[in-house]
Formats: sequence, structure tokens, C-alpha cells
Amino acid sequence: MKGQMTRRDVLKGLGLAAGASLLGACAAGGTPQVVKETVVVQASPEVVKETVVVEKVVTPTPVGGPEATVRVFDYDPTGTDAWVQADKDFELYFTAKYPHIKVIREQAPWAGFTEKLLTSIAGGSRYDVIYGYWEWLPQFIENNVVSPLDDMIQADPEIDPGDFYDYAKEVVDGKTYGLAWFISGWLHWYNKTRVQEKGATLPKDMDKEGKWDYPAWYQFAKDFTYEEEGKRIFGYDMSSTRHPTVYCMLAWAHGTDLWEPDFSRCVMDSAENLEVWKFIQQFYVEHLTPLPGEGGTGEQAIGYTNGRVTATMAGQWYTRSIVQEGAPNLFEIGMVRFPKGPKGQFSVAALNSFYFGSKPEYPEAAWTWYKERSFSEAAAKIYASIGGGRFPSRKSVAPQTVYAWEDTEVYEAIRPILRPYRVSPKESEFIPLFNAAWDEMVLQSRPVEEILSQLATEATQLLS
Amino acid sequence: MSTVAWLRLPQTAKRGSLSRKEAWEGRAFVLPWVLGFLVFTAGPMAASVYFSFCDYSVLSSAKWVGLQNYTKLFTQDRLFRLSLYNTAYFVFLAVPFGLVTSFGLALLLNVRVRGINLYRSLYYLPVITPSVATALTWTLLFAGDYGVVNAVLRKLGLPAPNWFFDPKITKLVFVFLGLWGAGGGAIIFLAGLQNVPQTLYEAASIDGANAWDRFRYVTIPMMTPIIFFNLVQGIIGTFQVFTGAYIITAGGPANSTLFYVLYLYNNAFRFFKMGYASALAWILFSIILSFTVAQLELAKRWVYYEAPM
Repeated sequence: MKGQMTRRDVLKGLGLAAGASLLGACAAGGTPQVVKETVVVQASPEVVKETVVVEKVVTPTPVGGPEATVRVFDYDPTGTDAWVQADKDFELYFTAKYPHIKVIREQAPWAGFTEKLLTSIAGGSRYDVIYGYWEWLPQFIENNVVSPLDDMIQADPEIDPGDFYDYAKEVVDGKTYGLAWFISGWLHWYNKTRVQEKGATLPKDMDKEGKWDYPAWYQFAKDFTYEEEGKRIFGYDMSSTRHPTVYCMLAWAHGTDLWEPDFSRCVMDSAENLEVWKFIQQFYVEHLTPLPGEGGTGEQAIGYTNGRVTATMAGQWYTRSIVQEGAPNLFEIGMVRFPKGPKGQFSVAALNSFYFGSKPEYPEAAWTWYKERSFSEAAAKIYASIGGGRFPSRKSVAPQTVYAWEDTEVYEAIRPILRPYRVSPKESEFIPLFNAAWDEMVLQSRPVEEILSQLATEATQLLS
Repeated sequence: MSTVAWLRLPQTAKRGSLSRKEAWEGRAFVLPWVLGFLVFTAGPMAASVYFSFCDYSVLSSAKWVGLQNYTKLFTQDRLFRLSLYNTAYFVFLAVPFGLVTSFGLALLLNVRVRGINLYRSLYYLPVITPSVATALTWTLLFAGDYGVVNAVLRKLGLPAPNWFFDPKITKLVFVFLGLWGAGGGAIIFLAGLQNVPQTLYEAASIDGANAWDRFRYVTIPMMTPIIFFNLVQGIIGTFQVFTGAYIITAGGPANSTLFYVLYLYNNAFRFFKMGYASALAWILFSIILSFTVAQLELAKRWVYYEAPM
């Protein structure tokens, strides 16, 4: 009948609608629009205490070339909002600049990163670029998961190897496997407001006068541990010393290390290491630091950013936690280097480098992605909000900060004392041994001498 | 059904074409399972045996090293012995506690009251809760100063220990957490309780048995097959304790919760020593098999089967 819709009409309509949607999607998915923009970064979601202006993305000039695909196994930063946004911005930038290079990115969170990578590769997956962490490098090399960068560096006129700080390179047996895109220089963060209210000398001022040493560190922790309204305020958070890559700074300051220079023996049983472990133990015995397992989450959390701990230690990546948790709204942020020990003052250069896969299908395209992600000016701007750029890997690049409360003087003072951590050939097995020994030290289950003697023996056996 | 039996035609004087056809149809139906077993279970097991005699990182090819992995385990590896001790500690506490809790729960769920089906469902729910989610929940409940458990203990004026950082109690906490899954065993016990013939209880009552006598001389003997089943399953399962330790303590503090399978996992996936981990796996298999065989032998003395075995 006239006016009545038939089944054929309905189907025709649905088909047209589907086709139109498909065309619309194709049109919308054209070349991404990248624009130069200035954004305001709030110090905290609730109260804007300060604003900073950063260049978020730069407008790239598209570069042509043969079509290629680059497979990247990358870190999944879900939970760190600034990093998630930075990754999105970089993807937009790279796609606009290199429309001929298709990037396939797989991501894994930190927990279980190596397990997922290992099983993926064992299952036949291939990656051209892999997010790196120095703990894994020796075993990656041993198992041909990664390949050296030396050929790519030498063939690239844009890269000057001499421009890189020595501490920025991950070198094993004379071959360069990583050029750090992010260097963390570790330092101490303290509650400047609290110190000033008490009329005490700021640790930074003590450091300038050469008085910021280990006895001063201990005394600071004692002075700023007290009870307040039924809650304990702790002077320091020493939990980071559980990791050897943080502990090493205390060892170096006392003239020792974790291993012999040739890794022939673990020297954790040296007299100097014993002295350092007893120093750390003091904080736990006297409860100047939160005990493992102490505190909870949310309001029950015990940390620096909510004022329950007066000082802590972390790399400059900690700025993103400080901002995310709104600490600048509560107190003034103070920064100071690690204290001076009997044999010097050091800060560890904790490196994050990407590694090259063992057989990249399109090595030039993979190197292009590697360079852009690691050293480009755009990437430096994009990743500045996650703490990058304070310690550039290259001498020709000026350091950058993001937040007004960051003390550039302290960063400058840290630069000359940066030293890379020496990764042992069996680092992934050494770390659990170290952790277990540290737990025993905190629990005081045995004399520290016994604990360290066993640790040194078992660690040495790993390499035999 | 063994592969050999499956291949051999039934032995009868004459095989008609119909029965031959039926036999092949049966094999065809079983074939998917057999293939799956060969590809996903037997094959990997055989490969694992081979790898246990190799230095194998998964990322590069396996190199034959003979008995080196096993020798090192038994002569040099302190953590192997420690993980065995931690696991044995857990097994010998968790299994009896688990059985008693499950059985008690089943007795309660065997009562005819209003809403009993709801109670049965509620007690079974923890069994189907994802183990990682459960572990994370327990982490918060037992967390340091401000976990719910410690908050209640403090209100009652009782000590509130640091549950996951005291080596003396951490394993006990995991034993307690294991009771969370008691509903699984309870359902099996419940099925057994409901199959105990009522005539036996009636006869016992007539003979003057009280409630305890009926429980001791009727219920328990009739339930021994179920108890035996849950005992064997419990031993097999508790020897493989992993998720809680992996999520909550990562084997700490001071390796006090470094259970065997967690140590195996670390060797396989963190240390890139799949060959060594394979050796660990076969030792665990041997231990569990020994316990199971021993239980089967001991069962002849205390398990009552109505039908002859």
C-alpha cells in the first residue's frame, strides 16, 4: 500500500546509514591535527595555588619516507595522569610528523613487566623498541632480547656520542645499549614550612655550609618525630633504602660499594656497609621512620605529601606525585641533596632508556622513533610534566623545570655528584636477596653482621 | 581411559560391523579431549621434563646440563629448602583447619531452616571470587595501623600486630585467609551428609545413641570417603599456594612467605631460569604424588566404602 514501509525499504535505509557512518569515520580519522598550544597546569584539583605554562605540543613539519611499521613494548602509566596524557600527546606529534611510520604499541604495567615481555617474546612476538629498566639489561643482553645502538649512533650525523653525559649511557662490555631519555637524580624532599616554624636550620642551608652529613640527617629525623593529636609524625621515610639502587648512595658516601669493580665478589659484608646498615637500623629501632606495613590508604596514609612524614627521599619524578596529591597546598616544598658521608657526597643517576630489539624489521624507522621519543625537543616538552628534563642526558641541552617551587639550585648542585648504579650480571636475583636481608635488618631478627655476611656469600655465588 | 585401551578393540569372539562402528564413533567423540590432553597437558609435561635437565631461559635455546639443576637444588639452594619449609608449614596447618572448618560449615548448612539455600549460596560465594581481588581486599583489611581488623582489635583492647610484616605470624595469617575458601569443601561435605541414609540414624537412636554418638559412629564413618577426597584435594591445592603471597607480601618479610610455587615462579619469569624452574616443578610433583599415594594406602585403614572397592 502507498505510504507503507516495506522490509526492503528498512534494509535499504539501514545499509545507507551504515555506509554513511563508515564514510564519516574514515573522514574523521584523517591526518591528526596538531597545534601549538599553551596549557595551564593546576597544582591540585581543588585549589589552584599556582599555575605554570608549558608548551604542550609543537607543530611538526611532516617528514616523508618509505612506509614502515615499528613495534614498541612500552610501559603502561595508567594511574599517573600526567604520563598518560604525555603519551597521548607524543603519539599525536609523532604520527603527524612521520605519517609513513605506523607505530604499534603494546603496554604493560610495572608489576609483571618483564614477565609479560618475556612471555610475549617466547610466544613469537617481536619488538623493535622496548621500554627499559637497567635491572633487566644484563639478562636481556644474555638472552639476545636487545641489540647495541652503536651502529645506529655512528651512522646518524644528528647524534654526537660525546654530547651525552657518561652517566646517561647504559654501556655493557663496551657496547651502548641505552641512551637515557629520563634521568632521575635522587634527593631529599622535606617539609620546609615545618622546619621554619620550629626555627631549625634548613637542610639546604646546612648543605651549603658543609654541615649536612649523616649525624645531621639522624638528628633531623629525631627533631621532627613527635606525637600530634594522637598520631605520630615521623622525621624521615627510610623505606626506599630497601632497594639497592637507592642504598648505593649511602654506601658510596662511606667509601664502599655493593660489589667489587669486576663483580668478582659482593662486598656487602665490608665494615663500611655494616656501618651504613646500622645507621639505617637506628631509624627503625627508634621509630623515626614508618615501619613496613604501617599506615593505610587515603586518610590513613602515612607519607610526605600529607604531612605525616617530615622528609623523604625520591628522584625528581616525585614532583608529579607532589602535584597530584596536592602537597604544595599544605606546606612549602624543600629540597636538598643526599648528605655528605665520610668519603663524599653522591646522588645516583637512575636511568630510564629504551632498548633496541634484537632484529628490528625496519631499523631506520625504529631508530627514528627511538630518537624522537628519547631526545627530541618536542618529547622534552611533552614529558616535562612527569619529571623529565631536570637532568638532561646531553650536555647541549639546558635543564628545565615545570613548577615554581622546584629548587633549581639544588638540581644544579646534584648534577656534578651524579653517578650511575652498577648493575650486576644477575641483578634480578640479587635484588630479592638484598630485600630479604633488609627485612631482617629492620626486624632485628639476627645481628647485622650475620645478615650481611650471608648476603655477601649468596650474592657472590650467583655469579659463580 | 588409557591411550592403549583406547586403541585396542574390545576382545569378543566376533565383532559385528555395528559394534565396530560404535567403537569408532566413541573414539571420535573422545578424540577432541585426547588431542587437547596431548597438546596442552602431556606435551608440555614432556617438554618440562626435558627442560629440567637443561639450562633454559625461554628466550634462547635449551642447553643440556644433565642433573646440574637438581644437584644445585639439593646441595646449594637455601631458598629451595626455605620455600619447602614455608609450604610444609602452611600445608600442615591449612589442611586440617580447612577440613574442620568445611565440615563444620557443612553440618550447619545441613539444617532445615528458612533461607538455607541463601546461606549455602553466601558461603559458596567466596569460592568464586577472583583470588587477586580477594588478596587485595585482605591487604586492606589487615593493613598496618588502620586496617579494619586492627581497628576492631584495638576497640576490644587487644593487641593489633603488624600482620604482614611479622615473620612469626605472617604464615598463620595466610592459613586463616585460606579458610575464606572453606565454602568449596563445605558444599562437597554437604552432598555427602545428605547421602547418609536416615535409616542408620533411626537405628542408632533406637539403640540409645545420643547426638554425639550418632555423629561419631554414623556420620563420621559414612563421611570418610568425602573426608578422604577433600583431604587429598586439600593437600594438592595447599602445596600450590601462590596468589596471596604474590599479591600481598611478594614472599616477604625476610622470605617468611616465600612459598614453593612463588619461588618457582620467580625462577621462571623473573630470573629467566625456566630449566631450573622446571626441575622445581617436577620435585613438587613428586612430593605431591608421594603424599597422594601414601594417602591412598592409608585410606584402606580408615575410609569406609559401602560398595566393595
